Order: sequence, then C-alpha cells, then structure tokens
Amino acid sequence: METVVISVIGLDCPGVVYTVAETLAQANVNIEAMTQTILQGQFASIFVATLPDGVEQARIKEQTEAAIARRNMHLTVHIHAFEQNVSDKEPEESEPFVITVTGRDRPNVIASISKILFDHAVNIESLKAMLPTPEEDACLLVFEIALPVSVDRNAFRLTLLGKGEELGLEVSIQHRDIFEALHRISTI
Amino acid sequence: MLTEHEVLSTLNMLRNEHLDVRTVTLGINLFDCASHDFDMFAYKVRAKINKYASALVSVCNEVGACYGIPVVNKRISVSPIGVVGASFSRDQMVKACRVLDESAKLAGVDFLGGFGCLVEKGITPGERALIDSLPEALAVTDRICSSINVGSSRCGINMDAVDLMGHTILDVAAATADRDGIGCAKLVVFTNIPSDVPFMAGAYLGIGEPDVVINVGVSGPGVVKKAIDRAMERNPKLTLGEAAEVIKNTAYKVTRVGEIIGREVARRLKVPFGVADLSLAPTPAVGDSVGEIFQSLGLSSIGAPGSTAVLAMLNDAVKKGGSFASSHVGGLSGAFIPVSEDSSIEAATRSGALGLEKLEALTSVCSVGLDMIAIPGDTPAAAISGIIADEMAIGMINSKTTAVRVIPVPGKGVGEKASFGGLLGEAYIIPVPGGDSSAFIAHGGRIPAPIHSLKN
Repeated sequence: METVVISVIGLDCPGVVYTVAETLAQANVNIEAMTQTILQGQFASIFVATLPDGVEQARIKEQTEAAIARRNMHLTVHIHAFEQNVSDKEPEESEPFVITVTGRDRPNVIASISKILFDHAVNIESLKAMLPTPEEDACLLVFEIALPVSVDRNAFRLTLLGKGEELGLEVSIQHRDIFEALHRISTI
Repeated sequence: MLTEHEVLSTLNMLRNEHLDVRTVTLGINLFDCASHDFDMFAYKVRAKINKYASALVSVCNEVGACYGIPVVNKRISVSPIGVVGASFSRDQMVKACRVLDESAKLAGVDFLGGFGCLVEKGITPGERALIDSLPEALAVTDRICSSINVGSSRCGINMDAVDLMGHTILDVAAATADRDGIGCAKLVVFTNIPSDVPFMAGAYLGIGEPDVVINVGVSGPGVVKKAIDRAMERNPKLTLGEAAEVIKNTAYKVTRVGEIIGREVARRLKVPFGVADLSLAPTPAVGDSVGEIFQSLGLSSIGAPGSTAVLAMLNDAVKKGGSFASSHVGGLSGAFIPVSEDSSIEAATRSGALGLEKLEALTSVCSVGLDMIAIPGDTPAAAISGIIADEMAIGMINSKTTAVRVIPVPGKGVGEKASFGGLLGEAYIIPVPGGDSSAFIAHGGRIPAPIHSLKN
C-alpha cells in the first residue's frame, strides 16, 4: 500500500468533494485525512490517502480528472507520494500565539511579517486575511503561530511592533488562550 | 483555528472599549510580623512585603503583554494593621503607615490597602490608636489606603465608631486641606467588608485568608455599554430582558479576562489565586463609565427616575455572567458608582440630576455605596456620621456590603470643584440634606444586629 497526497484546486461549485471522493472510493482508495477551504470562490483541498496494491498514482490522477471533466468542473488535480518529516530533531516545545496586523493594505505586508517569523524559526499554523471594515484598502491579517519557548517573547514582540510602526500598521501579538477564554466555554 | 468573530470581537474590546484588568492585588498576611518592638515589626514588614511583592509589577506587565490585556493597577493588600499593631500608640501607627508607604513605593505599586481595622462590636486600644493616627498618617503618606468596618449583618452597627469616624473624616480632610482633602479619598467606612477585596480604598487581607494570595478586580463598563449599543442598533426594540442577556454575556467575557490574567500572575509568582471581583469599575475616561450605561438603556442620565431599576438589573446581570466565568468570585462584585471617578456620574451630580438622596437609594442595589462624593467642607461631623449610619443600615439589613467614602472639601462649598487627580478624578461639591443628627449620633452604643442575623 502506498500513501499519497492528492490536491484538488480550482473553481468552487457544489459536488467537488463528492466527485473526488466517489472516484477514489470506486478505485478502493482510502481517504485518511482531508481538509478543504474556499477563498473568493476558489476551492482548494488536500487529501491524504492510501492506494491499494498495484494501483498507480497516475491512474488515480487520470480517473479523477476524467470525473471532473464529465461534470464540467474547472479544477486541477495533483498527486504525489506522502513525504514524512524525517528530521531527527524533536520538535521544540512551543506556545500558541496570535499576531494580528491591521491598517491600510500594501503589497509587502505578509512578506514583511512572515520574514520576522522565518528569522525566528516560527511556524505559521494558520494565516487568514479578513476585512474588518467595508473600506476597500483596509486589511486585517491573523497569523496563528507556534512560538518556540526558546524565542525571547519581549524581543520578538518589539521586533514585530517595530515593523508595524515602520509599515504604518497596527500589530499586536497575544497568547491564543485569551481569544478562547473570551469566547469559548472551557476550563482555563 | 479561531473564527473571524473571535478575533475581531477581542480586538475591538481591547482597542475601542477600554477592556483591561483594573487591578491585580497581592494580599500579604502580616500577622507574623507582629512585635512589641517597633523596629522588629518594621524590619519584618519590609522584608515580607519585599519578598513577595518585588516581582509583582514586572510579572503583571509580562502577563499583560503576553495576552495583550493591560493590567492597569498593581496593588497590595495587607492584614488589618489595627490587629497587627495592636500594641502600638498613635505615633507608632503613623510610623507604621510610613513603613507601609515605603514598602509600597519600593514594590512600585500605586496603592497599598489594609491600614485599617474592624470595629463593628468594639474598639481595642490598638484600633483606637490607628483611627486617631489617620489624619496624620494619610497626610504624610501617598499610597496607603484605610478601611474601617463599623457594622455587619451579624453584629449590628457600632454607633460609637460611626460617631468617631464622622470626626475623623473631617480631621483627615483638614490634614490634607491643601489638596482638597484627598486623604478622605483614601479612607472608607464599611459595613460587611469582604476579606478579599482587591479594589481600593477597601482592599485588605482578612483573617482566614492565605499567607499570600492574588486577587483580581476586573473592569469593563465601556465594553458593556458598547455591547448594549450594538444590540440596540441591531434591534431598536430591544427588551430589557434581552438587554440583561447582553450584559450577562459581556460580563462573562470581562471576567474571563480577569480570571486568566489573575491565574497566570499567581502561577508565575508561585502564590495561590484567590478571587475575581466582578465589579464594573469605571475611570474618569469617556467611554469607561458606568453612568453611560444608564444612557444607553434610555435614561437621560443616571439619577433620572428608573435609575435604581437599571442599576439593579445591571448589577444582577454582571453577577450572573461573571459567576460562571470565574472559579472563585469574591470581593465586592457588582457595579461601582464612584462619583468623581466616573465622568458621566459626575456630570449628573453637576447638572442636578443626581443628588445624595438618590445616590443613597442606588446604593441599596449597587455593590458598594456612597463613593467618592465631594461634600461641603463645613459639613458637621454629626451629619457625616448620620450619612454613615444610614448607609451602614442599608448594608446591615440587606446583608450586603455598603460603604461611605465622602470628602468634605476644606474651605469649599456647594458647586465648587474638587480635584483629586488621576483615577480619583474630580467632582463638584454636592449639598448634604439639612437637619440635625447630632443628638441621635450622641446616643452612641450599638444598633443591634437584625433578626435575620439569627441563622444558626
């Protein structure tokens, strides 16, 4: 059995997940995990699946593309072998933080902030752009990050705030627990 | 993953609605510092406060930065000094107050509370020395607050203490006459004082409390007001039942902030977390006012007919929302109506919409009492004692905390302005109802405990 990653990206419409899942089921491919999102009408999904012995990746790709074409959907399919993270280093302990960036939209916002994260070896676990107000050029970026415990919180915060000031944007960084504590019923 | 609503609503509360933690108060038991030797007492007090409080401010700032929630005030409460210093003379009490003031300054806290005593059934010599020391002690120190408990639902009201406090308040005002009697802003007379109040001027650490403990006072009148305004925008025909739900939900959020911050500060300081005090504590800043909530609910201002009903509903909804959000609720827990500290309430007293009589009525349903009210400097001691007696009676009969913090502003009369600065704000002096209470106050003795004190 081979584990593969299948990604399907394109124009969203009803029946996309059904078309892909039905094709995989008919080929006895087992879906182990999947996630999907829609962004401004564009559909993107990732499936982690196991192929039965003797079934090739290329064949599954062809069958899925054919099924999509039969239903006049506009999506591209990609498939490749599942790659395990083989680093022998234990992942460093981290804490969940949320960085929010608000202000006037400009081309280099995400690049500037994500560079700071990269420089500190901080992984982005989720990144979303939201529209806080109806104004067209307003932006709100929400980075959910895993902040390694070895990163100096204060220095990291000051670097982010400094960048925000440089770009004329309001940047804040807060432990994720505060968002949950305020809105979800769970033990603190 | 967080939802858009969770992120936007949190940011909005922080940036536009004054959401913060009003106070993290470190309670420190000082009974083990008691000594007949004053120098030994002073040494032990300094050492103990320094041991536990030296990291308080930096830890509160770190935790505040971690969650993006400012901890506005860091404070200390200590055991009632009337008991800790039971053997001290009046002059030694003044010295003790200075020692506490120095320790507060060293720790970097803005106030230290507990220079007080509980005298609801009688006054010991040490407690009398403390009360006698108050005019000088509160004048020569900057950061010390005093609370004197003169009544309780269990014991009745000590009218000798009420009489004494009427005179003492005038003396404290006179001793700080150059600053509009600011000493009185640091002195509050209670009935049913809770042993874990984190808010000033009533904060102290009572008997039965841990050796060291973190108590938290939340904030949030601005958040509640904005939540009501938003709900009204969505539905202009909002009923009061629906408004109460909005207040309840918002109080939950405000209290969760206090709970999470308090727990984390306690964890980092390695001391137990005590209680969250669910009070809506205003500041003089516009948009951070309890009084504005009355306007959002349709009254022209606090003081208009209907105000007591609004305050009752507000106080109850805050308790309902807050009690579910916190593991341990304590302190005063309700809505504060401190006149000089709330721009909208202060404006209502200035315009004549709110007077002392209505304020007294409001205190029957709010969490504390007559708070930060400037009265004429020539108010007789018996009238102040009468005001205290009335307020204590409301607390005693209704089994609730009530308090009086009035400032007879020396040399000033009705309509003149008194300024106390900072969070204490400013207030126009309001009239005290006429009539003579002196013969009543002179009776002294104790008003017996009410029948419902017999609960065993």
